[in-house]
Amino acid sequence: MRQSLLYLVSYYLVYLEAVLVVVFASALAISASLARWRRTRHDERSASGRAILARAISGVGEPTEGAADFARLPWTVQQELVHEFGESLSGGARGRLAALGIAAGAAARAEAMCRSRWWWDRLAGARVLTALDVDTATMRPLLRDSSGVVRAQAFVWAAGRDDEAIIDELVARLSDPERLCRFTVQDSLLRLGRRAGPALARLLSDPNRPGLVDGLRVARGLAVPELLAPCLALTAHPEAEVRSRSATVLGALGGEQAQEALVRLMDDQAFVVRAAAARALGEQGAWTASSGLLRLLSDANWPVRRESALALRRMGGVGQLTLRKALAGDNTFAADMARQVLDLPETVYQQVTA
Amino acid sequence: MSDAVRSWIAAGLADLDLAILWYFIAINAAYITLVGCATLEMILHVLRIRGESRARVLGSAVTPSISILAPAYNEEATIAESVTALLALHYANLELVVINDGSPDKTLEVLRSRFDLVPVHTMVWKRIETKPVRQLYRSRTHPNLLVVDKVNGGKADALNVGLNLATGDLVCVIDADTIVDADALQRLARPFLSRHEVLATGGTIRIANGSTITQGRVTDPRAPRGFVAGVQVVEYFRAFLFGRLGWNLLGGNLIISGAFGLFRRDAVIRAGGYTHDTVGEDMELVLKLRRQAYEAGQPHSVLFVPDAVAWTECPETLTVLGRQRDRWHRGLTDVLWRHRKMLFNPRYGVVGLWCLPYFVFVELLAPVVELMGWIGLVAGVAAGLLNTSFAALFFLVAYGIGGVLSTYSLLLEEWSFSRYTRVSDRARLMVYLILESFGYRQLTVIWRLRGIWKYLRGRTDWGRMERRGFAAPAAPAATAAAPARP
Repeated sequence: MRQSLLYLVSYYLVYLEAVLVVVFASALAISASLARWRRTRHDERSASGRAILARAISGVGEPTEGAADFARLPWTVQQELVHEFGESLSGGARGRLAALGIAAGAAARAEAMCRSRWWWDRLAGARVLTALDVDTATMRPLLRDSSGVVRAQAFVWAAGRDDEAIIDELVARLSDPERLCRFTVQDSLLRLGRRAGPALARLLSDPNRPGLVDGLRVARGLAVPELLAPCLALTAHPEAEVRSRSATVLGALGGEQAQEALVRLMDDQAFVVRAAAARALGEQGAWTASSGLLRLLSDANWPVRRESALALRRMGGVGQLTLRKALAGDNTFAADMARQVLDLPETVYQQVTA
Repeated sequence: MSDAVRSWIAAGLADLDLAILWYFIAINAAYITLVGCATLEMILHVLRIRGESRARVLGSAVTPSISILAPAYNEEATIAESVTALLALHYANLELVVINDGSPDKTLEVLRSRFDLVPVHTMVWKRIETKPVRQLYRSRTHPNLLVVDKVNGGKADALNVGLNLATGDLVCVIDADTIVDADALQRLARPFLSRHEVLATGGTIRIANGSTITQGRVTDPRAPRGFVAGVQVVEYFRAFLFGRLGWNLLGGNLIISGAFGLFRRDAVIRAGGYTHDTVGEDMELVLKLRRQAYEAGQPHSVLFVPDAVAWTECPETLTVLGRQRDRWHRGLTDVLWRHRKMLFNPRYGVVGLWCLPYFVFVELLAPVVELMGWIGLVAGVAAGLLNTSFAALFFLVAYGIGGVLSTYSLLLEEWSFSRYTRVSDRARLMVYLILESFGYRQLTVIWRLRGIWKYLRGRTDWGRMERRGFAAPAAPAATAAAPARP
């Protein structure tokens, strides 16, 4: 009984496997045969679409002239071309691309997709609207979308918007639970530049708000004066990472108050803070701090010694003299590090301190 | 043959049949689960990356920095071209650390003259113990290139030196002769931007034999013409497109290929870097990272990224391929033995309860079970107990499933990334796929059994590997390092 059942099952399995192999192999053969034909057809359509877009962005005639022809292309080709052009355009040319996209109905279709219940449709729609750089109310709810990838795409779109509410939303999203979103928000705030300064200063003024570390990373890139006061206050924050990031921002901001704070941070308990302070002082060329940096050359911690040596070299004549003094000194740690940094070829040194 | 012996053999065979049958059902259930997960994962992945702007990742000031670690041993013929291609990868914050592992040939001289290297002060922050470093060199023409000349200590030791010297947030581990697609690093780094708990990501390794390579890039991918290389393309598809991808969704990826993987540097250093005394150092590292994360109660993941592609040269002779497979299986056995504590241990979550049992019972013991099957077959024939028609049917079922899975993985590749553009290439792969079951598969069983046997006898050598080289087809070069596990 058992054997006949096994026979039966095996027989059907062999039959099923044969059918599956034939089906998969046929699908493979058909796909492969169709691929060439599809590619040729796709290439022709893409070429005609590219010609329409090139005409539109060149500024000769109305950008919407080819809208009807563009609308006749398959949606997938329209999407691909909008992404291809949108990625590399800015200013007036991007505006003309958007005008064509709106006239051809691509923007409306993308907006409809943004309202879909499926995340992949919302994502595809948001990507088209981002490439076209269209300011539309449909995108705003996506800044709080339930899907992380959709939210991240909305943050990319937000980088092109000069709107206080959107910038506030971006700053608030520095503490987004998804890493991709936090990364995108930082990037978008950096692209917004000075306009993000006030909102960021408000965030940094509250030491208990989440997202401080990422906010400080953005602050370093922006380095606008309104960030000085909150960063000075954050040098006394209980978390070492916050203090170290504050030191980095102070290095980019410069000024007497920043230097005083950095000199204080050279005595911080945490090595990451001491290293960041040394680096920041080097960036500022604060040669008055060279004796403090010479002391840090004998620090127990390797990264602190290295940052101090690099900072001294960055200070020019005074710093280099200090390094040579360390070379001749009794402390082998300091002498080794001074030798290593003085030996660095100029191009490499520039790369290391960039 | 006496009746007593016959009845003893009959009883033994009946038990063996039953055991093999249950084993067969269990591993095929595992395969089917992996195939289902791989399909779902591929669909989600394609939906996520469609229309994605990688230029954003490329140009951002907040992109994590990457240090590429490229150990080199006797690579004088290809090192200059490989390094030039690596320096031209599309990634904003990139550092390249080439570690010359005491090559007796002119690898270092080639690097010195080609990249205008100057010696710099040899001081290394030794967070991982390694063989001594002879000299560090910096390039005047490429400031992000660091060359290390060290005393020979093997691949793991070379990588550990690289870990001590690297400054990137992430480290990308490759073989010096791996050909990496220009945008592969961006794709490989993507999960680190998306999820905070990612410890490592691995890309797809493809076989470059037969393809056209121009200036260190694969410009025209072709299926190899020779059977030995061609059948490995099918194997690699199976391993990557449904094996690794399926484990992505199940959360149990354990292997990041030594030929192309990206790791969080701080995590690898905390784990003590690569282990020296194993030939399965890539798998050992991943398992060590995951084990430590479980023990520290930290959320973590190790992901496979199907669209990040690197190309490698595979063995073209059965002798060399046999040595490679034997080494891989020794490595697998060794790593599983080292981490046996994790097996069936609920403390190690999905790795302890699902992934490691899969690796033990499917990957490690499959050749043993297959050998038992063959022994049973011979014993059955000798005792006149073999039901020939059922045996033939069973073999058809067993090998047929392999064929179904291989065909499906080819189809999955066609529908997702479709790197081979010619119909003739796909046809050739189908032929290799059909021929695979006749002789080749049985050979792999022998090689893997040899690997287990050698491990039990304490052999830890890498075996001599021969490469034809991408640039010089007529000049085989012997290396201590060998192509990494796919």
